[in-house]
Amino acid sequence: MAELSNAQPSEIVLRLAGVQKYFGSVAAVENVELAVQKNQLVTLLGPSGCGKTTTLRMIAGFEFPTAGQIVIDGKDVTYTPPNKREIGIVFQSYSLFPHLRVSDNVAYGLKRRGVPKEERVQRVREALQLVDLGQFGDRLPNELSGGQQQRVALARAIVIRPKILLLDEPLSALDAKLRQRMRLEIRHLQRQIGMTTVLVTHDQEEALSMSDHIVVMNKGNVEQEGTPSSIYRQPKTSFVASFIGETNLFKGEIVHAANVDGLLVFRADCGFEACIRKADNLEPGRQLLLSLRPETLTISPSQGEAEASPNALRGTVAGINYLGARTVFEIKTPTRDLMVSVQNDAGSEAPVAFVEGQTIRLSWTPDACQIVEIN
Amino acid sequence: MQNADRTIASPVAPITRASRPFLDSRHLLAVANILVCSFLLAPILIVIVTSFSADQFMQFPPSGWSLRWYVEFFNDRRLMDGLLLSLALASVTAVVAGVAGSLAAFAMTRMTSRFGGLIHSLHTAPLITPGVVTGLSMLIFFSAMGLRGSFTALLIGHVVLSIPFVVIIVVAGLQSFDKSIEEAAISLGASRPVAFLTVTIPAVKTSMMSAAVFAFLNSFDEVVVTLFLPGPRTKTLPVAMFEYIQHNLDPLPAAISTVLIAIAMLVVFVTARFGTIGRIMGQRL
Repeated sequence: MAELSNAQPSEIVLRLAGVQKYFGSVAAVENVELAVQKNQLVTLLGPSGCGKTTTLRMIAGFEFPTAGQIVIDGKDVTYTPPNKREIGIVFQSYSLFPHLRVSDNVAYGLKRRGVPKEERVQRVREALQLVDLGQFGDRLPNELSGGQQQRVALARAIVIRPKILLLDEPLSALDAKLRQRMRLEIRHLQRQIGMTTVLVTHDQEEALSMSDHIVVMNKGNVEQEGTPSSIYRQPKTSFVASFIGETNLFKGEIVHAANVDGLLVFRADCGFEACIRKADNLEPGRQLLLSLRPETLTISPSQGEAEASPNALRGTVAGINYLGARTVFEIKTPTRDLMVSVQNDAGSEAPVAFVEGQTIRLSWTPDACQIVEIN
Repeated sequence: MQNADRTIASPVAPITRASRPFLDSRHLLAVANILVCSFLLAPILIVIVTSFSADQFMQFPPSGWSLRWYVEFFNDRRLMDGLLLSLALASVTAVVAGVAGSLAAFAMTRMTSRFGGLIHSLHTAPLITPGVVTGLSMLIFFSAMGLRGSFTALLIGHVVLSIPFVVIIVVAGLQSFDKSIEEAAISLGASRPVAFLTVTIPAVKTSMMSAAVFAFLNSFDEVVVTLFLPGPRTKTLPVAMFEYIQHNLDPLPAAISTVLIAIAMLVVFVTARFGTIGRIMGQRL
């Protein structure tokens, strides 16, 4: 948690310590450590089967850990049943009560808590207004669109003022346009009411755009955690580098030849050399991977002369994908293909600058080079 | 850069109405449907028409019209007792089989046992067991129990025969029920029993109602097994009618049949007012 921007000591609302979950002999979660600070939105990100959903279900209390401890607000709740945890949860399938009107759906948790009728009506109205559904209280869930149902589910979860809000792939059932809008809306709402939130998703864009803190999970373990930009810019393993965003990975090793600027030299197995920034864990001789994000590569016409200089490669343009805001080039080099993403200038026809089959030169700066562990 | 040549004309001729064959699959479907519906409905229509006969004997078409056979039916003490017994038996069967079958369905959709499939098959076994076999086994069983000829024996028999329908319908309803709905209720503070009562039951209420209606109708027209459980208090209307036909050839049974059809339809339409007709008739509303 060292990368957190605000240095003031914040209160930790949720803590998972050495949490494991086995189904029979199969480990769904091998070892998860997690600390969520008050009012933060923390995302558990990973492919399906990485253990993120099981972790969420353990936080909610629908599954009990095989080992480890879960603490909410300083209280050990490892084996507390879900209805005693003061948690709001939004499921992927909305899970609204089909036989109850929208306002009764939202009022359900308040009724269970014995909130008196007047206060209940007031709080339901406020919650529905918060999600912009003030006029929809009398509708049945199946009379609403997917996005509206999602907002009702959100209102139902937050109206009980839970200690933690859990979002289980909340946007995956929505179409792309609506998903983008809901991302912003949920993020805005979460900030506005100050709600400690744990989001589970496999969508890296969703994680990058919504989170204060991302926990990347793989095979039941935490692979890396940090702020969205640190996860994207400094992936520590090849799994994180390739799961979050797109990247070009090169196997190779550090060859001991620090030059005047304090740069190390990485020699890729496919032949080229790259100057990289010095770091602690980069002793020579170890097999490592070099990650080059497509947008950090510069493409320029080949001069034809020998281009053996470091941080450069020669290749030919094998494909041009014009995507509006940017163009993605597929570049063929003698040993492998890689991807280069170029921002298009407004008003100029960028892709025309290169044609398929053209020989070009790729180059990059030492800052673009990210060394990651093989896994 | 591709240079698409657009001068080549499409070689495929446009499909016109005229090029469709005169008798295509849609016509065949329509004909098949009409035939099937006729086979299903014609016997019922013949019975209803015959029930209004003025003739002394059952014949079709009747030579004259009257309501005399209805009058005869409603004045026949034994048949009226049978009708009341049938209505009472079917109602109790609907409640008992509806509750027991629904509970079994809940258990079956939630259990993780690898015997789940077997248990489900056992619950639907009475559907495929030949009626005479079930009847005989019940006769032997209830004789041994000293319950032969009692209302209790009849009720148990009908409940057994109706449970498969209830199980099949309620299991289908529960399978389309998203379990996370119940989890949502629990996360909002409901205990498991409260979540079950306030969320799960209301969500599958429609299937349970349909199942009970099926149990009612199934019991109401049951003959085979009931015949095996004879006794002074086990003469349901279908059995009384069956016995009547063996000695008489007048159109009275047609009148009884028409009343049976009317009651069945009444039950279906009354429950339809509670929104279950769609499920019963297998249609979407």
